[in-house]
Amino acid sequence: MENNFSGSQPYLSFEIDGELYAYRISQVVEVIDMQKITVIPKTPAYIMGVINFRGDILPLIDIRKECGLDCEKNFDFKESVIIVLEINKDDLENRFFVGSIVNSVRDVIEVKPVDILPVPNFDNKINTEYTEGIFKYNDNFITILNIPAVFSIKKNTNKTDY
Amino acid sequence: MMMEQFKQKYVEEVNDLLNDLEDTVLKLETDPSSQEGINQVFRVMHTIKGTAGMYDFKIVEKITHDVESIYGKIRDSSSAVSSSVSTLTLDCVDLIRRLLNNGEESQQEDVAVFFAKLQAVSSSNQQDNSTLEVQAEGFNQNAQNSEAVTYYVIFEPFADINDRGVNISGILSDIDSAGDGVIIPRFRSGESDKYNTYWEAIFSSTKPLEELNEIFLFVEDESRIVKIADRDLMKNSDFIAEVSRLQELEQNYIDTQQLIEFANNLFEQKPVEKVVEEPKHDVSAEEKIINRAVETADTKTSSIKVDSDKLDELMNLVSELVTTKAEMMLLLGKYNIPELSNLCEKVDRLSNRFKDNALSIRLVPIESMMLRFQRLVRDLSAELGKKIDFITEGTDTELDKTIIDNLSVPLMHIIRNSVDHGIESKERRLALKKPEHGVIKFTAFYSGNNVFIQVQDDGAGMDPEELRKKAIEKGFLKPSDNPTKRQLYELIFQPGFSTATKINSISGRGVGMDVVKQNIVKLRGEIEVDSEVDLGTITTIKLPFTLSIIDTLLVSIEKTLLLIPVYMIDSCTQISRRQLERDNGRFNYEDEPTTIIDLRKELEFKGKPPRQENVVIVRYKDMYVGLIVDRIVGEHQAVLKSLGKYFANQEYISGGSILGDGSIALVLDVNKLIKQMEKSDKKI
Repeated sequence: MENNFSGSQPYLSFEIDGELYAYRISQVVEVIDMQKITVIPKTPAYIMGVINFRGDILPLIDIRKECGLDCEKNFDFKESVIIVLEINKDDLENRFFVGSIVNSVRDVIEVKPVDILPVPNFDNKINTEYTEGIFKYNDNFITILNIPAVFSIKKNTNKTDY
Repeated sequence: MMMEQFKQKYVEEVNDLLNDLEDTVLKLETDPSSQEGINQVFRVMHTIKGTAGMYDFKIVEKITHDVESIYGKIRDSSSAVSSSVSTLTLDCVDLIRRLLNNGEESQQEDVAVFFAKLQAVSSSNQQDNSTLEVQAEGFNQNAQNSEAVTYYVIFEPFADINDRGVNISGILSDIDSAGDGVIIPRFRSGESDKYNTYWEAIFSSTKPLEELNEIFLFVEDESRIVKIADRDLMKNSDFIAEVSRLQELEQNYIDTQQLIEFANNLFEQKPVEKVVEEPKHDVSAEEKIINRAVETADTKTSSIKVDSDKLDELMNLVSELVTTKAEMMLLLGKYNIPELSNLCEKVDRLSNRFKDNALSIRLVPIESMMLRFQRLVRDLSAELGKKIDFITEGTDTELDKTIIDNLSVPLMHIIRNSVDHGIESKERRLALKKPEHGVIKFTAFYSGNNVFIQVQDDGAGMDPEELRKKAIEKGFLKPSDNPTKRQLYELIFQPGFSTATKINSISGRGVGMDVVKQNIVKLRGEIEVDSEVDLGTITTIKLPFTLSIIDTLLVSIEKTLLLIPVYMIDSCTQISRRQLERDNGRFNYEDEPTTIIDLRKELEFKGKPPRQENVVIVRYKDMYVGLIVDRIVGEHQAVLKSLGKYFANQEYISGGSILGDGSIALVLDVNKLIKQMEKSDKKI
């Protein structure tokens, strides 16, 4: 449904621990400032807790822990922002919202499919199963994250919804 | 696309009608000569038939037509509905459901079987004098050409039309598909040479006149086509109103001359002259159309159907209102403005009433699902050759729609068990000197904040000794264990523990009582079974009223806010940390040693506990359990929100609620928490 081979697609780039990543913009709902986090007892480390997002409860995910990235530093709460994503947008049954905490949001970039390269294996900062590809922008490499793979809840609930 | 939507609507409507019909037929079985019931079936068949053809459900049209004529005859001869007819009608209900839901092509075999049965039933009086009253107010979507012409058609058959083998409904459906318009059936009496019904139609069509004439090839002398205007007037509301007006006049036919004049005036931009002849009644044309629609559909407008999404949205708004109100009250407490406090109290009262009201909209009587249970007992007992009376009580008890929707499958299973395994065979009952008829009693009632549903049968019951043997055999118990009767009955809810010794088409298909229990627990309910050998079994289900708003006590540990449902709480007390440590977790409440759960430890909070701890005493089954928290904040009316799929496996938190200041409090799942403790700690 999302494979649009002809035209370019917009991506939202952001920074975590000095590295640049991007989400497909079609799944981004909005970017909000850091909020008071309510920690849920006895949950895996990548779930930072929940926040009040327009009167609803939104889980907040630290994708560094989810994707096995190094994360020595904790997020600076004053500086960080939250990207709200809508997962499984077209599947009413399994649709849900999730917040992804990042250091800062950069640009919205139009990328042509031909400019997206596979993520090299030797660059083992991030497991390739969580990525869609990589592209060059202003002399920087930006990794496109595969939203369904990163935010799949399969491993959390042992359900086989996917 | 539009057509698909209408079709969907039609299918929904018919499904509703079928539910009512099922009910009526079941009532007819106890009172087979009820004129009201017979008329009701007749009307429903008629209504379904009326529009079936329009959506291309040709088989449905045929079935309903045939069943309608059977009931027509029964009605006209004032006879009673035989059991074969009522069974046929129920078959018809099932078949139509399948036809509508799965498409007509897929059910050819069933259709053939049905018509064979129908033939058998109706062969006794087969002189088809079918009263065709097809009222097809059909709109054909194809004709949208600007060159359309508006026609008037009268079709007035002679009395011998049926003998000549002319297919009246065929002609009517041809008229219907010729263009866009209305067909008006008219009735007459006293003219022996004319058929008792005749039809007038007004429609616009792009088809040439010759093609229209072909429709009436075999009834040329009985029909007439008049051109009204050289354009499509069927979308002109003035024209439609005029047609309705003329139609309501107490004349046998619509005055075409008058209609033509009216049409001409319409397009010469002259102001329409006041009609000289006033309508006979003061009812406006629209109202009449509405009245007719109401009669046709035979709907009782005591209730309206609302899209459940709209209700959900209403509930969301209500919860936001409740949250905003809490925010306002918070602010009021801070600034204490006397003028405002009065107003706030009013808003508080109003929003409470609004909340109760909105909640009550979601409440549906249990009655709404009884029909399928009645049907289940009837069909199943017939199949098994048992005689069973199904008695219901308190079915006006109301529950949240979501709960009702999720309740019917588990209840179905329980009732099925009662019919299949509970009630014994006739021979066995007689041997036990029990009445030949078995009884299954379905009771629903309110108690406190809960609704109780009980299914009781006077059947064989379950032998605890047999359960014990089976449990040991299957490894659920050790031979040395000495469980109570209650614990033994609890076992039937364990996955993989089935007592069915024989597997038939009805029970024992793998979906066991464990699934029933899972379903009930998901609804925040509880289920319990009690039984007495040869006396019967009783299953009790306890359910909350609604799933969305509950009264809770707000407590805190460190900075985390937790909510405990008020209905579970017995009281609150305090204990010092030192005493707690000295007594090694032992605690007395009302002079009874009481189990305590240190939530700080259990939920793995970091930090130093306060010197003085608060204990919330909750009731669990027939005992008390103390929950230790840092602080008791106060009462909170919690609008429950799901934490989402990420937390589906969360053990102790069942949801969250947003407080007045925007922060989130977590709802403690006390039952799960204690059960978990029970498992890990055998001392309880």
